[in-house]
Amino acid sequence: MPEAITSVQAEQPGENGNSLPKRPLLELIDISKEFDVRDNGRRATLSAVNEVSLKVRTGRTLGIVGESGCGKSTLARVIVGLHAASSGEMLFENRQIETTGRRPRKIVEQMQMVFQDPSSALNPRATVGESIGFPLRVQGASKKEIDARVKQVITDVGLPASYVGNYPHQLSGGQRQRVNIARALALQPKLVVLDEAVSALDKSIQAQVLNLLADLQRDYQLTYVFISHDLNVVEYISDEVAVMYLGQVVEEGSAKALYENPRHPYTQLLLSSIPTLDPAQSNRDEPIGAGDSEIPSPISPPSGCRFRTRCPFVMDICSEVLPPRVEAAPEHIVACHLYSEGAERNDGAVAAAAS
Amino acid sequence: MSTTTGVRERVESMSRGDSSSETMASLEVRDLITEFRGRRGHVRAVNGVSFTVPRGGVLAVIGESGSGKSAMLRSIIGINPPSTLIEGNILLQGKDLLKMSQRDRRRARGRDISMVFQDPLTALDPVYTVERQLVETIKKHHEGISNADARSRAIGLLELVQIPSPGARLKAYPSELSGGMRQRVVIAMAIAGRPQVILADEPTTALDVTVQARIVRLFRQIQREVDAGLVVVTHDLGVAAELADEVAVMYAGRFVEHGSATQVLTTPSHPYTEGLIEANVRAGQDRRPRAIPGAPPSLKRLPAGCAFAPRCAYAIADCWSAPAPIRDTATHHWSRCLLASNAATSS
Ligand SMILES: Nc1ncnc2c1ncn2[C@@H]1O[C@H](COP(=O)(O)OP(=O)(O)OP(=O)(O)O)[C@@H](O)[C@H]1O
Ligand SMILES: Nc1ncnc2c1ncn2[C@@H]1O[C@H](COP(=O)(O)OP(=O)(O)OP(=O)(O)O)[C@@H](O)[C@H]1O
Ligand code: SF4
Ligand code: SF4
Ligand SMILES: [Mg+2]
Ligand SMILES: [Mg+2]
Repeated sequence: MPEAITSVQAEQPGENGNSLPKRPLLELIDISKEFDVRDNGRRATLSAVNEVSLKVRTGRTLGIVGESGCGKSTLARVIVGLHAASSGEMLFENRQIETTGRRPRKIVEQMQMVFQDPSSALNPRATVGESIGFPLRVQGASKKEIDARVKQVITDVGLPASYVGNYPHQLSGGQRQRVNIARALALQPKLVVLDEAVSALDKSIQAQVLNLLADLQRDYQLTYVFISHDLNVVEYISDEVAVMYLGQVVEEGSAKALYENPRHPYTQLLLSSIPTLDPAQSNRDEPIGAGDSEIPSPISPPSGCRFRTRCPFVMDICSEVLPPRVEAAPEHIVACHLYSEGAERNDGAVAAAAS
Repeated sequence: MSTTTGVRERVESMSRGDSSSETMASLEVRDLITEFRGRRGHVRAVNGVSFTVPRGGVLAVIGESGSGKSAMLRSIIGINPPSTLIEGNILLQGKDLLKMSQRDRRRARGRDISMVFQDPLTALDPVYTVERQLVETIKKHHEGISNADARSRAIGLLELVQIPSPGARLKAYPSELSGGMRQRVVIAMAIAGRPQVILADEPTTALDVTVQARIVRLFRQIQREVDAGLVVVTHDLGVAAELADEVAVMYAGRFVEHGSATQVLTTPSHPYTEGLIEANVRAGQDRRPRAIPGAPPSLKRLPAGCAFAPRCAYAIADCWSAPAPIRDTATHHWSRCLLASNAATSS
């Protein structure tokens, strides 16, 4: 672990100092999050996020995909400071920030999150206008400024301005989700973490919001962490993509490389399951069971490679040794024994090669 | 595939809601109107929707956000705010739910007809464990069942919806589960009573594609076992293609197109459907996705003509004067568009 940190620090001063903003805005170093839970009456530890290291560059989008329950939302909450990390470090604009306690308001305001459950994030007693305007008021904006900004963002996300007076229960699911997006954007943060932010929207509104996000990114150098189960949308919007499985990042790379040439067996499985628009290709009447190995639990994750219980290529070593992160191609990192060539390619060497 | 003939027959009876008595309809909805009445005006969220779902049939409803899809399902299951006006007929195996006593209706809920809600967090009670909520649901449907049996049934249900280590998850509170797990718990609760009709409001939005495929197959499996009818609302056109026999498209409170899944998704005949499919981001897409220009009409004041006219690239003068008529475009495929023509029958 200390090794990783030194390598990161060594890399910082403008090494890749070209004109493009390639500098990471946010950097996660070995972030883990564990929860205490009960397993049939006994105390147990649930490893929701395990030693995740990722960089999100200024003005870019990092997509995160992975199975339901693999730790995406937990990681998102750790990033914006809603969960204390169990261990690991975080750099924001090259400065170390708090991962286990309260953060200064200035940092908090620069990172906004759109939550997966849109209704839980809205105060049922506040109107749409009040919800969006509240953080602006905290910042000390005038009433006139707030009204104008609220109106602007609400029309940006495709809602009629007349909705400012509505309460959350008077909105449809997609309308609520758009209020959340509007609220996150109203503060003009530097980083926006979008957790399933467009999945409750119809395809036309989704297109509108995706285009809005792209425009804001271009105009204000906004940086996004974009979590979604819609793999086509992630491919479209992301510059880099990280694939998570049971709390760990198993593959990361540019969206193009990863989708064109997925290396990790889990990524391959995931990408081959994207449904098409052709009803004739449906396998809906195949019985469940055959070929559907059980999904393991993060309460007692498999030893070695966590994917080994479902992997078609599993080898002896996979149950014994955690696969190291290997740079299988430039800037394309995969954690799988199929790609590790001998013992000399350890973590440190890979980190050095990646920088 | 072996299912096609069965599907074809079902489709024949579903489209346009011809509820012939030969194929038993599990759910038949006639001219449903749902209006939220308020001081600041009335919102007509559902404006005359009719459809029939036969036993074992799957209808997917896609469409605009805010067009009334959830309001429609909530009206069928019977949980709208008190000031809501509901008109029409909702026939569950021939009996009109809107004419039943509140008590009978409550009894039917869960046992004969159940619903998977769009927002799993609001469907689950945050202060009770998954076990308590599941066991309660199971007890409601199986009178006199012992606690131990209800508990093992609960574990079985969680297994069925693909939740890993179900025994451990029973003790979890909803906030301790991931979004997709909550969604699956809600699905488990909806299928606990093996109802004849399942209404599912975006049941797979929080699920990754591999789990999603399993849930799709699970729905089909349960349906086959009890010959249930399924109405599923989804924004995911891929899920509609995978799961449904038929697809209906909703815009501003109305169905504007209805036909077999293949017809609607591959040869759409309403300009709104066409725009929706066009806006969908495809694999490997580089260009900006194309949103339909303009905004949907206010449900407080619907335009006199076609509700889509202000946004429609094909609109002609007649479109603005009177609501578009229903036009058959192929056998059991219709579109509420003045310009839709019966192209397919000539072939
Ligand atoms: N507060 C909590 N207490 C205990 N366990 C938790 C808590 N929050 C999350 N978990 C567990 O952590 C794991 C990861 O959950 P998380 O919500 O991050 O998954 P996710 O990748 O966002 O899944 P989804 O795609 O379904 O939203 C899950 O097993 C979940 O049950
Ligand atoms: N209680 C209410 N009072 C007033 N208007 C309401 C109320 N509930 C819903 N609406 C409005 O009714 C319309 C239909 O809402 P509904 O939830 O059915 O949309 P939906 O088609 O399910 O959309 P989504 O895809 O976004 O979930 C929306 O425009 C919404 O703003
Ligand atoms: S490390 Fe082994 S089990 Fe894991 S993905 Fe690679 S081959 Fe499969
Ligand atoms: S009726 Fe006219 S305005 Fe309406 S969808 Fe058809 S062409 Fe467009
Ligand atoms: Mg999540
Ligand atoms: Mg809805």
